[in-house]
Amino acid sequence: MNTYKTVFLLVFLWACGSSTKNGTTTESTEKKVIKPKYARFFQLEVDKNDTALIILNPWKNGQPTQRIQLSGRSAAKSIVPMSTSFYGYLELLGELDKITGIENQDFVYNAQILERVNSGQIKELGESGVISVEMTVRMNPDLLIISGTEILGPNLNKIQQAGLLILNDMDWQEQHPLGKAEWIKVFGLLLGKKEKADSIFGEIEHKYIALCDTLRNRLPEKKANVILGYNYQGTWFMPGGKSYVAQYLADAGAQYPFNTDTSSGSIPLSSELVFKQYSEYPVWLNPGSCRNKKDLLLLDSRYGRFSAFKKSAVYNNNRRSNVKGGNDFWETSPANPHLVLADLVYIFYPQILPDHQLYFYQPLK
Amino acid sequence: MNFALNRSHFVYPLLTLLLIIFFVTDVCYGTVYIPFSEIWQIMAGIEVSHGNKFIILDFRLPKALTALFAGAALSVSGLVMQTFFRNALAGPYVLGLSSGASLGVALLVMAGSFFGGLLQFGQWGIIIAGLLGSGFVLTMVMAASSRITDSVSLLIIGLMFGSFTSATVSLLQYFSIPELIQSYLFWTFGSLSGIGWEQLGFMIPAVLIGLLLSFSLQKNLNLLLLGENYAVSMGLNLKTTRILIVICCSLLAGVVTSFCGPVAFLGLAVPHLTRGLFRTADHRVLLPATAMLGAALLLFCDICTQVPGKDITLPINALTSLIGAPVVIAIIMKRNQRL
Repeated sequence: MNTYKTVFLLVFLWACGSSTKNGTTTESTEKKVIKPKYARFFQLEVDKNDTALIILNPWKNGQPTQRIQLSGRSAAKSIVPMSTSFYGYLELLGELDKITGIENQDFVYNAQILERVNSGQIKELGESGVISVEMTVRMNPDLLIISGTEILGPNLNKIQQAGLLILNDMDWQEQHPLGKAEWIKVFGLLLGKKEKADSIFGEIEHKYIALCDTLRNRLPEKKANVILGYNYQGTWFMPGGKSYVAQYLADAGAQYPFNTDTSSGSIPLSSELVFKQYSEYPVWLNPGSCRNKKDLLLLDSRYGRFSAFKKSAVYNNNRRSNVKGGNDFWETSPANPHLVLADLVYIFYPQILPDHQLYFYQPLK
Repeated sequence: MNFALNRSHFVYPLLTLLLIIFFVTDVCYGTVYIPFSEIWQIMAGIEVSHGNKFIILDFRLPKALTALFAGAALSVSGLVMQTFFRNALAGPYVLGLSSGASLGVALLVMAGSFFGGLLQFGQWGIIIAGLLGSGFVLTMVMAASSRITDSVSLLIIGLMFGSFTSATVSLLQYFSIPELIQSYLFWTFGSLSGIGWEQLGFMIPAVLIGLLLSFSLQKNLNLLLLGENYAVSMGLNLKTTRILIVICCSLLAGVVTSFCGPVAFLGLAVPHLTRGLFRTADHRVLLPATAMLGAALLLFCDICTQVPGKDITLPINALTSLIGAPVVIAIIMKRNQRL
């Protein structure tokens, strides 16, 4: 049955997909496919009687991987977000109070959620691979949102078989920060807040684009050089040139040495190479979980020789974090890319945004 | 009359009782409390709340059946391996079967394009990748076993296949993104809960064929205990026996590993436990007893994965070793004291 549906959908998409452009709709005799403006891994299918949300598979050239009928579906009233990275979308939509379960509270920053876990209003169900089938089936939430992977895993498979709706959220595979943020529309559709989601995204987009425009006109001739990541047992992982981090760096006008790389994951580099070639770079971002310079030296005393270290230009995204490891960056930055961009612009070119207060990032002291 | 056969007169009914008790407990006891009366109603087909019906019929019951058959399969393949290699440390994994299955799954999960999109992800994708992986190693080992005359060399070759595949898996992990590594790691924890009725429909017949094959080999195995040369002089066809044993173990261990992930230790420990309990080396007793004891032990481990009073369940793979290791040590200590 599923295969049949997929085949049908593929034929249909082939028939009408080639002429589709971003942000436009394609008319066929019966159905319309509405593609989002930046996001690549979801779309809407509308015909006379029905609207369906289609999730596309990032690992299989964007073939459909999930179809959720929207017509006749009532708004989800209880939600289990299986990753902290969804809190930002829910917060902007004013839906945090619909959360009835989470993975666990260990890496949560959001104070409201922590409080409701402590008071028992939110249950901890276990990480997505080991989620408790029995507790989840009994809780029977309207919507379970997971960071989409190709494999649901045994426990989530069971939960799906029990008839619960699991949304395969692919926002983490989007390469453009606005593509990630646009997933708020998916949340809006399933939570019955379509208009609100559309207008919030409009604002975010406007702020992001406006910042890019300002930057374009005032960017100095010499771009800031930047390195990222840290050494782990002789290997230094830097984000790939097609990752969303690289897109942020490009939008913030930085010169990233791997911007021509074609991977969307991370690039494992020999630490020797990084120490030799990039230790003179003036800015260094995201050095793991360090909160200050002392932490960084404890990991590897050789970090002290980096120019960025000497000039206190090592920045980490944990300004808003708690001692248990909860970091607001992972929770709200996907839904608020303009705040990340503003931070980065301020770090590279403080003169362009003189009044900006760093929101997610902090210099290590 | 053999003492062990006499002893089995009362140990078999005891084991059967134990199996039934553990099976029922495994179905009744879980994270969510469901009263026994309601479980009874569900079993009798009387309509109760949908959620609880799903938990019992589609979650706990297949899980218990999986434990039953996986426990029997892994233990029997361990016993056969130990006899065949005349090595007390042999288990179902010495032929590199689980490493082969791991390699198949790792290639599917972390190097998605390896199967050229022929294999869909999802439960069956993983199972088929695991079967292909262990089947690949099996073919290599069979090819080796037709050329090599002694089983120790075969053991070493199996271990080398294991090292080779795990190195390949490490390399794949090195170049993979954390989310995919995590998907793979969860598979390596082993899980009985992922199996549904659809999968059981394949797994149970496969395991039954493997078990029947091993039971048909009981005389050959008894002969092998005397040493390969002596067995051959007694009329044993060594080559055929060896191939049958490799097929039987691959079927048992390969299928279970592909479906449940690598479940540790059981295959190594249960044969020792059984020998300690029945004090015999006769495979006519050991084979059925090992199957029953293995099934009972895996059911017991599955019951123990549920931490009392807590909402968490532990990975089955850790439990089998945590419970199995002390039991084996105790049995061996006790046996050696007597000598």
